Amino acid sequence: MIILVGQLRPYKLPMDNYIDMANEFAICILIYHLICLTDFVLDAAARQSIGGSVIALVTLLLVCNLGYLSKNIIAKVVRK
Amino acid sequence: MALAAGGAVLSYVVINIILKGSLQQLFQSIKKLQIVVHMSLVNVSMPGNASIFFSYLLQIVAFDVIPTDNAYDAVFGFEESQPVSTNFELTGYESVYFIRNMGSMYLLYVLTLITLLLLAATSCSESMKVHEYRQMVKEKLFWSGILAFIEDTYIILCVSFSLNLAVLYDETTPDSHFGSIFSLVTAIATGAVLFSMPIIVGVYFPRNIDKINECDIEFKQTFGVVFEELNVKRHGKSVFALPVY
Repeated sequence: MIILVGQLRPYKLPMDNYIDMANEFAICILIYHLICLTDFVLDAAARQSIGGSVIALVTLLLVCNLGYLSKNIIAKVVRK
Repeated sequence: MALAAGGAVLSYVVINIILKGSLQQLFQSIKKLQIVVHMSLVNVSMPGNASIFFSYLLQIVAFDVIPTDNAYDAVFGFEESQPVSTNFELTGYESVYFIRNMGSMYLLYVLTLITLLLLAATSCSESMKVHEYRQMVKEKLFWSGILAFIEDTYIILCVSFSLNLAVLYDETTPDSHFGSIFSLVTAIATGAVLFSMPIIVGVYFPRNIDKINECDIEFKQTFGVVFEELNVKRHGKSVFALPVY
């Protein structure tokens, strides 16, 4: 998906392409976290830290997306 | 954090409705979050902090605003069924029945059916106002409304459909009452739409690319939800790989 969006740039707005790629990249990193949550890591403290890292990354994803949406809606309100 | 995000999403929807804007960008973000939340279905034991965070996030991304489980149990007579695993239970798939897993989204099925019946009932009316309303509802529902619903809830529909199919292979689940059969039939009908959807998008839209490039207003009103954000003029047919994906 990152390759597709990166090569084609399919969205009309350039920022949409970047946001989509950032989202896909974040999902890739989150999937790497899952490897660390298998039985290879049994240390409870380490698992909690990995959980914290997952939360931090999803929060970042959420903030980026909501920030972009807020920017668009504020621009729309100002234009009106 | 999840509550703040929920508030932000709600205010975005309200402001956009007031400004008559498109909610497409919001749904695009929610789709990505749906993938993130469904990541916890993978059979690894999530740490407690991440599980709690995902359960809050789920309420936003699953559009499950009305608690419907008890109502469905009463109407369809669903019997108690075990969730496939703890991961599924924590992600909100507490049952194997399609209708129950869909939650308040299933009400949109009912709403569509009622709208179709109303459209059929008012087809003979000669009043101008009724005709205008019929035209407006038709434009919203066919096909942009239905396509938007399928596109934005694709992952939830797929998981619910697959879970309901598992009933056929599970001997422990009670499967001979009305609710169970009705749920299975609905799941199979939805599954057929889900499987055909990428094929339809991948074949129909590239064939009608001239209409998109010529800005055919009627075509845009009917199917605009699929290509509204895409730069079709610049990239041509290849751009439809994205909605198919």
